[in-house]
Amino acid sequence: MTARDESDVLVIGAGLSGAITSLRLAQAGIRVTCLEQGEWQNPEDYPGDKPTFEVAAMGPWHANPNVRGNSADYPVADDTSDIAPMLFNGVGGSTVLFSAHWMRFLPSDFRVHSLDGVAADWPFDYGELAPYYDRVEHDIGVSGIAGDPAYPDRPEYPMPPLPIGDWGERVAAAHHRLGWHWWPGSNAITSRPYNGRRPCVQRSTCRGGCNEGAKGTVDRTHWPKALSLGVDLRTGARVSRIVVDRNGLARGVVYHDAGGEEREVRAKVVILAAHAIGTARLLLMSACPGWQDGVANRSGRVGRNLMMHPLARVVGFFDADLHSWQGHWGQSLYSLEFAETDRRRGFVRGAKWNLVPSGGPLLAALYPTDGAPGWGAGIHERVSRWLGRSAIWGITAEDIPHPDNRVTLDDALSDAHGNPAPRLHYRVDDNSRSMLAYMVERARESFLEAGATGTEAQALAPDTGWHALGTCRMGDDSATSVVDRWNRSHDIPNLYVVDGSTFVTGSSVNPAATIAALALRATERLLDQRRNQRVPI
Amino acid sequence: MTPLTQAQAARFSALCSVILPASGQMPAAGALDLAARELGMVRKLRPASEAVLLRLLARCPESVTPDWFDDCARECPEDCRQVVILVCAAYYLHPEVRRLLNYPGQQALTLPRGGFGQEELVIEMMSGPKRYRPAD
Repeated sequence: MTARDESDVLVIGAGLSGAITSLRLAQAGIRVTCLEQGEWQNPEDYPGDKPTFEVAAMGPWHANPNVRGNSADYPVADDTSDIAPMLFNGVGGSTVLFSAHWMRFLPSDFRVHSLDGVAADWPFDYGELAPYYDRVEHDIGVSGIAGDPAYPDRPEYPMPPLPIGDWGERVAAAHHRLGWHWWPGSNAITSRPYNGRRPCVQRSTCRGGCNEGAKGTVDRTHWPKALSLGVDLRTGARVSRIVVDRNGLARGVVYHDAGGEEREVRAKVVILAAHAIGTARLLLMSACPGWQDGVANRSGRVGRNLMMHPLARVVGFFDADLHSWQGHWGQSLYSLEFAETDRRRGFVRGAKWNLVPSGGPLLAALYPTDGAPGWGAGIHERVSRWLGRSAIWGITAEDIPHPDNRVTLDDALSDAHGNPAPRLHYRVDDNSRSMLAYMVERARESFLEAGATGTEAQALAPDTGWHALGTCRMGDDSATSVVDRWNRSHDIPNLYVVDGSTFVTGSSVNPAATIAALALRATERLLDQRRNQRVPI
Repeated sequence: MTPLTQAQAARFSALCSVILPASGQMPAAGALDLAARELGMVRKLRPASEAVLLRLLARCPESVTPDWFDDCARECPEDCRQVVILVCAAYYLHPEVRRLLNYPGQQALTLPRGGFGQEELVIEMMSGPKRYRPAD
């Protein structure tokens, strides 16, 4: 018999959006249960302060769950995708391994259809989200400097920016000469002691977990407070389906606990915060009589419009010892010079560039090369040219949402509990390819103007699917979207989705700040309307 | 994970020198006895490569040559890729290699007390016109 208990609000996923939602609800006195399929991480296990850091990041700390293969992970069928998924399952979610680039959307990002005739507009504008951006930046602890002319005015950041590095100074000066935009990087990384966290030590190993606690991961910034307020966080809890009752309301979920026992939690409100892949997967695999195509999927849009931010890299090599294996990773600086549409370029929308240091010798040795063998004396030449003497532009392209780019359930692959794995169907379209080709050439110009002696480009880096978005699109029209402007399901009035799956379009900037702000906005609305809901809380 | 036998270690060393031969001041990977320490550190972190390594070592001829490895890479590219990763990872962990590269590993540094860099350019940009696209 399935063990059963109850809560007021049930949150699925303890990552960025789940943490923000759980904490805010708990602050308002709501009884919250959160189910997380992964576990707590011990920062002492993070590989960044160990000599084997680089090889660990290619295996047990790889961001691709298929490579990492933790027991907490579910496999993702990705052979039908041009880009591999990158995510983390555990308390803190993908913030544990993210690069912490903290960027607000641009005002035009909310009006893509009106301005450029593609995709769709968001049901609200930048100004409506701005106060939530302000709040989450303080909760997460973001360093940066206000005044960027590429954005509307905003309050100062909680901390000043991190140093842009020798490589950043060269590129900044080059952009100044070119008349191109650049700005010191805004990062969810401390530059000063902040709320009990130590400042960054510039070890440049952010993507393997931060040993110092300088990176704003929600297992440190939110969960301790949430637990102190009584949130019932259950780890090792893998949800297999959402249960919908005869009245069309979400009754709760069924999950397997850490011991493998099947349990049910009932709640007045169910909130999905399980990542754009995981949330779509869960809705689809909850199909049942009355919801044959998946729960909350009368629109047929669940899983569709997957966006993944195709990414190019350009490496600039300098004839100078820059010690560029150190720094924060993290962005040293960013450029939005090419973020907006200019139709003369042959594509719509644009890309965000972020300058990062260039890592250790193993990254240099194994970096993909065009045609050259991956072994032999050439490796020495490559490492000599690269190590400490280079920097990397990462270029994230805004991809236009397409219904055929989607998450479905795989017929054969399943997780350890027999739940079907998600399958990614994602093709980089011609617009994105044209955009990346254009950006690569401009990034080469940037480096050469900065004094680089040469450059090397990867026009489409496949292992970069950090920014899965859009699979439960938000909108006012229930025929074309999954949730409304307040992140509530059009079909099931006590079911919410608060993660990146609700994005209408993806911008070119990193989505974490917007995921966080959206989650907080949705939670405030839920609290405001808590007595007026179909099921009051 | 069991240690390599003497015969396997000898083959591994030969394979290492094909994957990373000596060049300039850098020693060949086969000259560093990586099987004694560094390879073990890497194998622990890449258990899935264990069978691949042993399979490839079993295929190694008496004398491993670049031509043989080229052929091998055409026949089983993924196996060879995995072994290249093992060898490179072990090589760049070796203290002598790091010394020659002047690479001390990733260090914990104190943030500089001064500014973040290029402050005067930032101030100049602040005083310039807004450049975001109006969305109204």
